[in-house]
Amino acid sequence: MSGLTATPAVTGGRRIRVSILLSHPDATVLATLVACGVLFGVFASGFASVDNIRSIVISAAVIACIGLGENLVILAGEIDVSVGSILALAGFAAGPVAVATDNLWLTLAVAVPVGCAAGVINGLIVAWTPVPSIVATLGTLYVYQGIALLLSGSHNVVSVPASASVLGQGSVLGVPASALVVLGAFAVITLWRRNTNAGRDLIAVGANRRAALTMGVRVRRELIVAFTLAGTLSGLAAVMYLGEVGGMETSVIGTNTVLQVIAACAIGGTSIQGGRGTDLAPLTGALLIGVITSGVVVLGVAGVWFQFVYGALILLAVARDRLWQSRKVS
Amino acid sequence: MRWFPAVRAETATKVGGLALLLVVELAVFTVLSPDFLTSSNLFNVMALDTENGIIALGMAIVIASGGIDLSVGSILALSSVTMGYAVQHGQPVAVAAVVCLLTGVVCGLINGVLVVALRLHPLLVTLGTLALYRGLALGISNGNGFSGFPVSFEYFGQTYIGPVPAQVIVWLVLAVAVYAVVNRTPAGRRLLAVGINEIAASFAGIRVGAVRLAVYGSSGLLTGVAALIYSSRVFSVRGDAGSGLELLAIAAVVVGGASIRGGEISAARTTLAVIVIGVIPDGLQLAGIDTSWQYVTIGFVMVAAIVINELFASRASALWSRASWRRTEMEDAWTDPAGVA
Amino acid sequence: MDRPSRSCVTWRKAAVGIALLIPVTLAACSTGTGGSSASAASKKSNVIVLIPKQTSDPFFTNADQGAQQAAAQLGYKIDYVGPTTADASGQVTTIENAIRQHPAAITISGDDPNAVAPALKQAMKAGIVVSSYNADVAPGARQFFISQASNTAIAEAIVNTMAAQTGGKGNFLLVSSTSTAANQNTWIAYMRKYIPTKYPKMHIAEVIPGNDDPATVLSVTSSYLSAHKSTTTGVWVIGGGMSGAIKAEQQQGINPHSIPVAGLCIPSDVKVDVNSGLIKNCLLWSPADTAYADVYAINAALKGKLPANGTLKAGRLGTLTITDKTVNVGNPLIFTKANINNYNF
Repeated sequence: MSGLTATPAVTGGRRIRVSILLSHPDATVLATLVACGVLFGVFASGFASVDNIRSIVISAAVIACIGLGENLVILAGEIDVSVGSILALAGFAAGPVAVATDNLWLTLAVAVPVGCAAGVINGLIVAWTPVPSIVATLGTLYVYQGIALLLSGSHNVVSVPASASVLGQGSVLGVPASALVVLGAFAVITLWRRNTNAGRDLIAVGANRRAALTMGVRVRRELIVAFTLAGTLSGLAAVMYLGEVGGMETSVIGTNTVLQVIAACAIGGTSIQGGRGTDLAPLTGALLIGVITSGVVVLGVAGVWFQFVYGALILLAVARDRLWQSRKVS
Repeated sequence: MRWFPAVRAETATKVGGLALLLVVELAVFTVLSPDFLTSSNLFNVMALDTENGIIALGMAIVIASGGIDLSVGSILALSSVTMGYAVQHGQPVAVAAVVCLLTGVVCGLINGVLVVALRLHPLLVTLGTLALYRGLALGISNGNGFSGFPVSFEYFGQTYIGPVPAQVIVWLVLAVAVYAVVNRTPAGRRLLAVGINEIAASFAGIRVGAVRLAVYGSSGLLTGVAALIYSSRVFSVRGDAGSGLELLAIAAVVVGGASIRGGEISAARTTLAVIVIGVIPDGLQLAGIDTSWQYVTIGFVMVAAIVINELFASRASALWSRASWRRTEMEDAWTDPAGVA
Repeated sequence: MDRPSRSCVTWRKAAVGIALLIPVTLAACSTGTGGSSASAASKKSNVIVLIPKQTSDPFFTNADQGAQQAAAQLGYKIDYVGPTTADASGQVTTIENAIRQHPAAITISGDDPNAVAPALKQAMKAGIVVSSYNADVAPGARQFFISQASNTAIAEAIVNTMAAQTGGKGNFLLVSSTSTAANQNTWIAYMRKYIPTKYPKMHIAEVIPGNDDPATVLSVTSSYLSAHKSTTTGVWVIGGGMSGAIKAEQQQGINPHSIPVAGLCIPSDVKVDVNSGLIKNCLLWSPADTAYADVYAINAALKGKLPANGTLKAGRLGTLTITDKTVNVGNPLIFTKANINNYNF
């Protein structure tokens, strides 16, 4: 008996396990990421060097960090377009502190609470008023950007000293500090989402709000938490940005950053309508954008064509998402 | 639905609110600077706002149909660049102008096709085309600007009819045209129906796909017109022109009180909103106030408008409505799908 | 069908129409200060509108200080106003609004020489003195240009300082400001003429705009070096944001001594790098001096005493030469560890 069924059972089991693996929501993005990495590594000399990979990771880190927060907001069925302005606000609030004190902890002590407060305000508005989130955060985008400009006093932040730049410049055992920060934030958020009621309920709020309400989910609380996390992570990202770039310009306008962040989440597989996506999405999305833009540079494509490649990438990713969906349904 | 007494009260509050905001702004700026309330300055403001105003009209149409278009700034750049390319290769200004408008329409139609045929979410599609069109504009122009236009090119953005800049008249004419099409033609009815409830509209026999294509195409065309006026005004074209215009256009539609979910549009309120926002940088500069205050001021005006539009206007409609049961069911379903508020 | 009554519809239309007509009627009925009184007004005004490429750039805030100094000496008032991003259309809006204030003069450092030209021409028609400084605009759109140092001197200094550090040969990346800024393009043109005559083994491999933004400079330099590390001998930065190039090299694991970064720099941006030896030297000039001379030139022009060729007495700067409507202020300044701490812009 056992001899007869042993072989089919083994083969059948392996087949089932592989298809389960492929149906994991992150699978396609990770596969694309690896495939692109390998392709560029083979065909573009200089791509696969340790330094280049470090450089990709560092440049993706700020977007990934903000993306972790924005992802939560999108999963909850809302959108926050003010995260770029929160980045600017936290940057101009904490920048002078960084320059004056050269102390990382003091800088964080200013940037993170500022981001958190901005996020809380967004959350309260969305949760307690009938104003749609895109409208509310459009308004707060202007207000936060304006406050950031006023704080700047019409001066850019320049020459952030070394100790305060650690999150952007430093590394531990060769791994860039910014990557470690992002991974740390990712770990915290994943743990929160898996192991707490509030975390688990978040996706329900986006998937089917009426059902969530009926089930007793505290929708208002979930929304406020999501927006607060988005703001806090933007504040953290500001410290990384100050470290990476060594300053901040008043031309860091909210819109550019937020569009890249949303693109990263979408490319990573999060549905813009809410209720579907993983926490890994912003990370894989940001990395994929970074890999492709870097690969394209190393291959020798002129700089003026980057935006075009980036746009094509977003459209392909979105289309892939749609195809993947319709395949699953059939 | 538009004609319920509740809705009339709502519209009245929104228009009243906008007008009040405008009057307050004009009063404040006049007090702060004697140069503000002059015909030269006011016409200047309106001339500078013309491009934003025309793009906002297109955005209002798109939002009314339930969509959104983030790529308008990039369409402006691409239309301008193709126009410059045409002139650079010997084409007369008239032909180049047509190229500009055509590029706008084509870009808009591509947006429409991607949204309709591939059934992709408009936010993401236009996010992608924002980068795609911008990339094309930068690539074609190789990152350089071009300004080798013949003098006749000034015609579109630098001519005056009496004291009035010609483009302001074009803008107002287009606003009236949009109003007429949306409110007086069956096409406009179909547009609103699609925005209100796409599924019901398709069951009612409306070809939703065709409506969407027309909507995005029209937005592209209007953006092409704005590109023509803008390029003529600065007498040059650049691949990086128009960055951030989509944000201002959406802000104008929001301040004008249209629902972001679609189903309503007011060319008049949108135009008024563009003026309300556009007056701010000019007024501040004339008052000698630092440019850093622009964003905060625009932000506060937006917040004020949002408060009036979303909070007071719906309360006004509730107060006014004798058929309040209607409001609960249908309007709640839109403004607050979660029953959160 | 639930139609509103006729009277209600007309009411609504009237209300909206009135609201829309407010600005138009105001415009039509108000005291239209046309062209004739403008020139009279601008003669009486003592305001000089100083427009930077970007208001928060420390280069331009330093220029503002220099202008204020001259203005105090001569009895003018400086209105420092402009876009918060290096953006030509923002400058156009600023100029158009400024015209309505009837200042005595408008002076501008152009993000794009042609985009601002129509507005500047309008200003000149309104009787306002128009000049440019630092980055010139279309010659027909201004009455004179303040050149901080002769373009040839700047270009040669840029080349020589790099040649000294790299043995006068190799392939170089050149990161500029915006692709259309006139000063950049002039220097690049001179560099291309000068290099083959003195250092025939030096080549400009590529020119990429950095938009005066350290973040952009960082990302374009990083991208370039990731592909061309082994063939690049040095990186020129001739727009703002040189610190970004240093950071890019560090990110790519390159020691800035092996691929030197040189060119134009703003002291506050590079102080840390120069003091720690990552940048050996870089140069600039004094924006304050440029703006100072500008105010003196405007003063002379308002009195009708500024020749197209000749000299200008400019306070503490002494006597400056004017050639073909261009006022030449001085020579480039080279910053090294020894002197950079003396400058605080």
